[in-house]
Amino acid sequence: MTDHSHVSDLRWDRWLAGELSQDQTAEAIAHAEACATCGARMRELTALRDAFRLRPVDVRFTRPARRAYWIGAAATTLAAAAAIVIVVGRRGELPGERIKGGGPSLVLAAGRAAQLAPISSGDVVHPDDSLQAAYSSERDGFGAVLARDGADAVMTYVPSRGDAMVALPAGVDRSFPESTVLDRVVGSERIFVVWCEHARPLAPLLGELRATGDVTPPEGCHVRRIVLDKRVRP
Amino acid sequence: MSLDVEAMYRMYGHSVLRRARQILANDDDAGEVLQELFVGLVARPEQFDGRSAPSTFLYAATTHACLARLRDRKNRLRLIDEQVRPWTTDVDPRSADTVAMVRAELARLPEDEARAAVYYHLDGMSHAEIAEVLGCSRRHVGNLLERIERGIAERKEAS
Repeated sequence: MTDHSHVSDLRWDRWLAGELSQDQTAEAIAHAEACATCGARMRELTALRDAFRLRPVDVRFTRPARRAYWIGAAATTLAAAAAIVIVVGRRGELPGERIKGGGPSLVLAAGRAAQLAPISSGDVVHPDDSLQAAYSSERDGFGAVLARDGADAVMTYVPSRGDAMVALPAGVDRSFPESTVLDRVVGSERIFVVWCEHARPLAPLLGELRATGDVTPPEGCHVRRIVLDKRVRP
Repeated sequence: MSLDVEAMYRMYGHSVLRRARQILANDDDAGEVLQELFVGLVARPEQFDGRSAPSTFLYAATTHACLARLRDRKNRLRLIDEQVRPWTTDVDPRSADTVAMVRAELARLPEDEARAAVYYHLDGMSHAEIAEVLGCSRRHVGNLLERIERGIAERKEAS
């Protein structure tokens, strides 16, 4: 049984954690640039790491908040033994609005690339900030991230190319496969995170967004609207 | 040595959760493994002695926790009964067939072979990386992987 020709997940995890030396990093990145599979895997593991960071407060080392619950016997033992306890947010619950009717949970995060934080309407973002959508869904689906910027230009953030929604496999705290770096147009920017049971063409949604400034969820779809205040970074 | 479990969780929690999902093919179980592992580290920080990289330690600990869960008969039957959709990622370089086959074998393989199977087939690790995590020689890793392959082939023939 021979060795793999691809970069292992362990190596990517070490890279993400900053454990690799400069030479090891250069080697892995060079391989990823030449190997489509590894390049995609590197981006996916990075996106999964970013999505994990969006989880509300999965493990905290403080006293439990109202929405937290005890892990059970282990935590109870800890509570008795020391002031430090771990509490865990409800599994699968992401920050942001939960869509009624048992639909997916859609989240948007923004910030500098390594410091993404969940955002909602009214939050301030800046040019060059990264924007990343995430979701939790019990069912496979398809999605897109659409936007109308301060100059009323309509665009598709995800997918970055083409008119087809991206596949969003069922799961908890998963990232959309692409993130976006915001351009320099400032003003009120409306973001629409779209999740659909079936893939839909984007042109009609973009047409409606262009004409009305809004996106009506088609049947079997859910849309989360977030209006951001995009300003020049002070 | 003072262990900052919170920092470790923030840095490596995603990896633990992803791998647990991959091995167990079940989001709830994977979430529990994540919790148990870090709760255990708060309770007994000496588990991580700092002699290996945190990633290496957590790979081994996650694999151990997942295999223990799979070996638990009640859990195994429940996981099989649920017929969960194999947890895969968008661009996982490993074939879904291989992942499904390995996952089906894990509960019946001896501990050392099961660990090697996870690292090789699910994590895509090299022999050298597996040797580092298992704390053995590359030659031994090769032997383990050959044994796994033989065993699976024999079971296929018998069935």
